[in-house]
Amino acid sequence: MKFLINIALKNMFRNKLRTFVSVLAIAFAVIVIVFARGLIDGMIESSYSMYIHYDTGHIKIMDQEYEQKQRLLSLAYTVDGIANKSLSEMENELLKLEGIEMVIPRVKFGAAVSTEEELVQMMAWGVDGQKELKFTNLERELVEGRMVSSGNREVVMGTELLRRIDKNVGERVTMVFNTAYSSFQGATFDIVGRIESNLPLLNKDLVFMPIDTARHLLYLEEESTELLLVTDDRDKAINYLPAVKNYLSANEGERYLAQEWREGSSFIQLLQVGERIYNFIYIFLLLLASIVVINTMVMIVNERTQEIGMMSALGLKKKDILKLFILEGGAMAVIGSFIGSIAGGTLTYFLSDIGINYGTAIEDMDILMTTIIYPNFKLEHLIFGFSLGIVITSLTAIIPAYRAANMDPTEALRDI
Amino acid sequence: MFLPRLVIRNLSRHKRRVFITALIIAFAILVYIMIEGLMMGLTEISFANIINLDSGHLQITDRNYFADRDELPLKNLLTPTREIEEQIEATAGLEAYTRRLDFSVNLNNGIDELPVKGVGIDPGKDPAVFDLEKHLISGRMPTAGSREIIMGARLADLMDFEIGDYGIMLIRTAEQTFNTIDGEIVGLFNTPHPSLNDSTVFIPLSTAQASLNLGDQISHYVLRMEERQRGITAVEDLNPALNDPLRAYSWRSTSENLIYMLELQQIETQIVLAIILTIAAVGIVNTVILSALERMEELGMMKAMGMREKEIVHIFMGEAAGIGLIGGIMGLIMGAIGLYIFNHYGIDMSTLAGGGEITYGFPVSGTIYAGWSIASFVFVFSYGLFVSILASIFPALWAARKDPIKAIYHR
Repeated sequence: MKFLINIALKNMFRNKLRTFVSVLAIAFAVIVIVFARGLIDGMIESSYSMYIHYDTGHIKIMDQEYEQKQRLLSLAYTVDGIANKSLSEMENELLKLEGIEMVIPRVKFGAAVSTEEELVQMMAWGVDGQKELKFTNLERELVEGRMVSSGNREVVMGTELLRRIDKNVGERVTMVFNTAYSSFQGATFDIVGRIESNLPLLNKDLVFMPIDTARHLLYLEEESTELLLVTDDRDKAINYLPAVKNYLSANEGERYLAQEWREGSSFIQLLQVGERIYNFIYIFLLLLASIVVINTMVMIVNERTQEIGMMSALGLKKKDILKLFILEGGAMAVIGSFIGSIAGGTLTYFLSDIGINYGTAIEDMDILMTTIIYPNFKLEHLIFGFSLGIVITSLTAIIPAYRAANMDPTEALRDI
Repeated sequence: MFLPRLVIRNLSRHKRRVFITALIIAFAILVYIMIEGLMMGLTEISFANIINLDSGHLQITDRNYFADRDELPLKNLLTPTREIEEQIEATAGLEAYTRRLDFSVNLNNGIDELPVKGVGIDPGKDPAVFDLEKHLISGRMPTAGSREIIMGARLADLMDFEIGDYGIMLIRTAEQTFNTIDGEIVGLFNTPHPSLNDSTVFIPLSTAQASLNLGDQISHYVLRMEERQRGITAVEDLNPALNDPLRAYSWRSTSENLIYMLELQQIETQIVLAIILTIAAVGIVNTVILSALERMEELGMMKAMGMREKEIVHIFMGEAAGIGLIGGIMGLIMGAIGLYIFNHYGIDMSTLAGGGEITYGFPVSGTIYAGWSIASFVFVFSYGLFVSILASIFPALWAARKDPIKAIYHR
């Protein structure tokens, strides 16, 4: 085997230019793969975490009816305890289940602020400020002031929303809303914080207030529109789900629905399908690049017909000739993939800080995605590109190598 | 005629190599044509939906209103006068026009409330401009002066409304007071424009004006022209004639976001094309180098017999052009077949969205069909050819500069 490796390497250097071009083709394809994977990974990761933070949690518990009517922000279908236990008892019991680290209650309702010209509609979330800061990335996005703290009539709003109602942090704002009894009411709040985010939802639709204030104003004591469960690992959430479902059904909680984050949004399911499709696209791209290698190999085989004839006449077995050519193709693949993954990794690394701005194109979409996408630099992508490059190229090298191996030594020797 | 014959003969020496290199170019063209066709179909349907259901070909409104129109304000409205309407009627290519009033509504079903967009329409004139009536799935259009409303079937479903129910519409008048309209639902529609289905309620214009206490003010005129292009040209005719705060806006300016999104998509398509063509270019470089290496002795001989370097370069460039041509033709044929299959079956928007309701912000739902455009075929074909020839220049120069003596002595 060592002998074959030696010959293969020596053969590679017989015509450096030819080898160089083939290596270049593979390297380029691998660069594209490493970078595209980083970019898509960055996009998907950020979408996943946005959905988990601002929509689904790891597991979401809500009323069966509420699921269909989430858009309405209805207060008629709340989570208000289970069997004869109150909501806080229910939260404590959920917390004892395996893997559940945090239970985050949210009360979502529609609210509006009346300005001189118009009625600005917004989505109000009654939240536990400390828990939200711990769970989401709000701390980084809170550019001014502080998060809401319980017991106070105070709110935190997005920059764009503040601009629309023409207020600043420190001022007071009066909001109108419908209570759980469908009565129309208003309340005045201190604006204590400002959020500036790439996520359009946070920037122009959301207003946070302490959950106890929200409950009090809406007549929803001991009720939440939804409970988000945070587990120790989002990928394990699916394993913890049965325990949550068991708990619900053991306590006459059939009217509640427990949903893992992946089921929560069709966009996440779409991204998962997309991830798989992209893997095929990478393979396709490499197949195109390995056409260049095949061309080179076919020529090499033609060029060395006599040599092959001589070698097999001297006793080199078919299998060895096959190996020899696959090794030669494989060596080009290794060099090309190595250069490609390093270059692609470097590119991703630099762009992972700068990000790619999709600007307002995303704002109109009904999905949670930030407007700037940061490619994700991970060693995993480099290794993926590197190995895929080697495997696909070596596999395609079999075709010309097989042709070489199947030559009849007498015929091959006579070929001029 | 000597060089072209030489090129063709050289190309046929390694049919398989030529074929698979051409295949890379063919794939680049195939992918481009398919994506471009799909995008063109999507664009076409998006604009058709916007024009037929939302913005018309041309709008006349106050320019201050236009800037804030998404927020549905009730200031900077316009008061219809005979003078404006005479100007509208004098516009060349006009088919019909109507008045509309957009306002913000909180729709209430007794339990829940949802912010939606209310649109006051003139039941007499509106059907001549918009296609709404064609998309009614049950019931009828509201009659003038009544308190009848129509809404999307999806919205009705969400709020548990049926035909004959009363939807309470909470509105805020221009004087900041709250008012309600008890609208009787007389029709449900299902249009291919998702946001219309989800969050728009239509009501007779006079009722809206009375409830909002607006007199006869409207937010905008909508014009329907004989054809789309007229909408853009008529803007220039109308603008000088209109008194200052009033302006005409074509369907293009009313759908800026969509246009921006399409441009971004266009860039992405170009990047994909560029990536595949770069691989194709490397393939061409490789092929030219390989054939030059193979023919070293031949080249040396030709040079010794008096062929000039330039001619050798031309031969290789010709060969690359040949490969580009073959690849281009294969790609065009494959692309045409692909588009034909696309259009034969159509693509369900919901499959693109993984079965969900996501439309990526495009005002499109249901089945879409790809568009054809000779221009994009020609563009991608010549682009492929250009890249092939460009890629061959350096290796061709490299081959042509070889010393004839050394070249003959190659082995």
